Amino acid sequence: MSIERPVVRVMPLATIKQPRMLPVPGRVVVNQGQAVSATATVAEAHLEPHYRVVNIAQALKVPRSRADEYITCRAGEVVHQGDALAEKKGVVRQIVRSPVDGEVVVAGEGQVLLREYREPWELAAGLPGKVTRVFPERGVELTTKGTVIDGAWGNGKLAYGLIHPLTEAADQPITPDLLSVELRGLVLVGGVLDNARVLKLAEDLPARALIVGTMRATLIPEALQASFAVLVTDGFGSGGMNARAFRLLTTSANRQAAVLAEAPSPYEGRRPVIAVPLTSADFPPEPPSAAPIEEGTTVRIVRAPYLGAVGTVVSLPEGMVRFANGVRAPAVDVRLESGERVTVPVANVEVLIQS
Amino acid sequence: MATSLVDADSLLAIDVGSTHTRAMFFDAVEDRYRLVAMGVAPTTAGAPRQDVRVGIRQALAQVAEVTGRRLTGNDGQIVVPAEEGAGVDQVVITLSAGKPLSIVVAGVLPQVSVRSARRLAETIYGRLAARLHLNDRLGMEGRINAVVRARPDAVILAGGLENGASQAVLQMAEAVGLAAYLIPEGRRPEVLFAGNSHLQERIKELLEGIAPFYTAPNVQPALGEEQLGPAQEALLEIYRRVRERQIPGLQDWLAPLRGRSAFYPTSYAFGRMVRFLSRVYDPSKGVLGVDVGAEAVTVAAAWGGEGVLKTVAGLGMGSGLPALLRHVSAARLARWLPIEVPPDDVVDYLYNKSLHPESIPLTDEDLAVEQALARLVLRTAVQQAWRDFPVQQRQAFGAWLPYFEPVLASGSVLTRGATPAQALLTLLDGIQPSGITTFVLDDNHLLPALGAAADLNPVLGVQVLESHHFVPLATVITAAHRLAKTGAPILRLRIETSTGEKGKLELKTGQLRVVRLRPGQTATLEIQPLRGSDAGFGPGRRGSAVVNGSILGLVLDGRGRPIALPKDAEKCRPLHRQWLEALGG
Repeated sequence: MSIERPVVRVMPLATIKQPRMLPVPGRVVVNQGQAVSATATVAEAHLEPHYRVVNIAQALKVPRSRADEYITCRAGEVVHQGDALAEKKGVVRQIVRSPVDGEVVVAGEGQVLLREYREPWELAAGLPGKVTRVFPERGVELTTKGTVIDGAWGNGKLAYGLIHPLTEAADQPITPDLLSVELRGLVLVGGVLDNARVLKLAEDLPARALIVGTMRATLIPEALQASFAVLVTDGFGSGGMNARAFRLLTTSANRQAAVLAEAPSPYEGRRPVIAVPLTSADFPPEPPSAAPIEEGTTVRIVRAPYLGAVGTVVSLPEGMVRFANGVRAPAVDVRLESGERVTVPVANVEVLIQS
Repeated sequence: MATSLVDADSLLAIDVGSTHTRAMFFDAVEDRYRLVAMGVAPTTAGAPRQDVRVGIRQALAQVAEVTGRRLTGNDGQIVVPAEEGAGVDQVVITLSAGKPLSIVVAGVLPQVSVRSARRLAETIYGRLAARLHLNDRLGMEGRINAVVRARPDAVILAGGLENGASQAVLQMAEAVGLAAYLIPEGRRPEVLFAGNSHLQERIKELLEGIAPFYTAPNVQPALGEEQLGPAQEALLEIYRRVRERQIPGLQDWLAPLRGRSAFYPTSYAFGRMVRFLSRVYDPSKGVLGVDVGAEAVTVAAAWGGEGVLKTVAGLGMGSGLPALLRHVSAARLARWLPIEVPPDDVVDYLYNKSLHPESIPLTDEDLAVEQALARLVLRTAVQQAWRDFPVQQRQAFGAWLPYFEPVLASGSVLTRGATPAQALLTLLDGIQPSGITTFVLDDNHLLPALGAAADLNPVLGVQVLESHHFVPLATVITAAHRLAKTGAPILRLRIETSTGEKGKLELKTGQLRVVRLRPGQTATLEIQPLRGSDAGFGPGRRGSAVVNGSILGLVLDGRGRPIALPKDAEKCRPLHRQWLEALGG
């Protein structure tokens, strides 16, 4: 039986199908087949709807059972701040007014429930492409062609801008002196992020995005606070970026890149991704989301002591393999790019798709 | 048990965990139930597959390969009941995969009905999204907004003792009803009312047409009297409905099995087995079960069939590992590591593991870090569960854990790669038991399957429990004390084994000692605690016990309760190594 592992894409040219989904149900505002820019809104939703309860009985000082006869609005009615919701005529006319702009949701039982009007939250396309699927109330799938690199972690922000490599090496930390004012609005690329001051300086510029191979996990709170996108391609620590991704990004300097620094969520099928849209007459391959591990498969190791190493599967030992620390697990023999041959648990590798 | 198994039913148990899916085939062999074959495959509920059926089929295929028995028909569905040598007679499913259920609990008083509702929510994989009560200062408007924004999968509405408060409960029900009404149909939460039963009809009128509505007997009928059991049944139904909606492929896979299978949250099935065992074992002690998963830790404690089930969802050894940092400071964490690892590297480790929860430690250092973190994950969960232990148990033992016999443990961090000594030390440090306790490892994560099968096939549970699949690690005698001074004698022991060997032993504070007692051997012990320590008979009280042999034998723990580590992490490291060596490495 073949063993499947998740795929990680580090591809110079691929067909990129990118779902863009609302966090809560809302409204899709684009049509299938429509071309969209990276900044276009594809869907919108009210993330935090706010409801107001107006107690008519209390305001008019009448029993709840009698209050309904004074209510002048109906469910579904749009009201503005100050509009009358209820009115009691008499020597002294009493009016209960709407405290906000909104819509009457329920009117009765002595109270009026209003949905306060708030601007909906907008979901940006994130990358330019064509709407190839519409999921009503949920989102869309966008399709484009270009370079694609899957990431490991993101701070939940999006960006679209020109790529600018900051470091010369894939394992080089970004130091504060590498950041200067002319980098404003760029997608900055570096090996390692291990200095909180770098995030502060990038915020001050402001940078549009920061892509790093690895980041110190202790910086997660600061990265989550950043107003720009922070995307980590390989994981946490000081190991840096895998050589292929670094090469692709540095050779894409001055090209526009979409940085979808989404927080990874396996249950929702979400992971961060970098896309560099390219025009191509060809129909480049569309990689699968999972692939079998076989001889010749290129894999990336996701755990120490070979974290981030890339290699080719040489063989798949039968049954369970006992490792030096006593752990028994299905394993795979991998020849690393350095030439070293190592045996690692199958669970510790991802399939690397490069072309 | 002398029950004849001539017409024994075969049983297939499928456990869908957050990282692994197991298929376990039980059948009668030589007139006793046994685990005949087991298949394990990665769980495919999440990306990239997002279809739970893929992992289930892979696990089933492994079982079919080992047994040579065709389990599924041409349509890929399990053949049940068995026919002509194919399929199985009974199927049980346990499931822990999936994001924790988002649950709002609402009641009258935070320390009474809301507390009971919260405890009920924690019997499944629930995350409290909001707590509403009379003192929440939210008012009707705030409560409506709290529920709407929480977007809960379920609301548990409790409150009002029997013949007690009604107006406050009705107000709360009104807020819940209005909030549910404001959520689009199809996404409305399942609402369970488990409060004052005299209000059931009125609350049913309020809520039934708005959201899927369930009622259950009052979780707190009288002050201090809690009954979660009946409401738990209703919550199980809610769990099933929500999970079938949320987990891709589950509904389709379960559809042909409906009415011919049993489906439970893994935590519930685990807790059920622990409750069952507490009726079987020494009634003067409780039974404790701990299951350390990737996304949740379950702690089940039971005394005479009644117990506490606590699932700490979101905390675990995989994607739940970073949550540990909310409970444990980096400094405390460093003190539990047997090797020097810079604090920043440990935080990196936690987050990297959460990105790849199924990944496996490959070096000794990696394994040591993982086991150290497991101690703290376990400790956090046990301490949380302890707060919900019955008052009489907490009062009798103060901050120490009550006596348990046995402690049952499962979780791949304990069973995959850990030596018996490593597994035991992880459990001892994480649980910090008191008294005399046998530690048993559930190597294949069978307890939830047996718990789920308890209704269908009670004989199976009993017979499989007696099998070699449950590994007695050690019997531990803890001389619980709060003495700061190390090196002072706190326990004297006379031992006579079934093979006639006799000996005397003294345990000092800070020590961990082992007396080899092989499986099959027994020993009679005369235990004399010193300096007011408690070795299972009460502070300073002597007593005798007969213990069975096990992999590690008899372990004496004199490290105090709680285990007091030096403040300096550097001074802790040799202690961890020394304790592990004392147990055999």
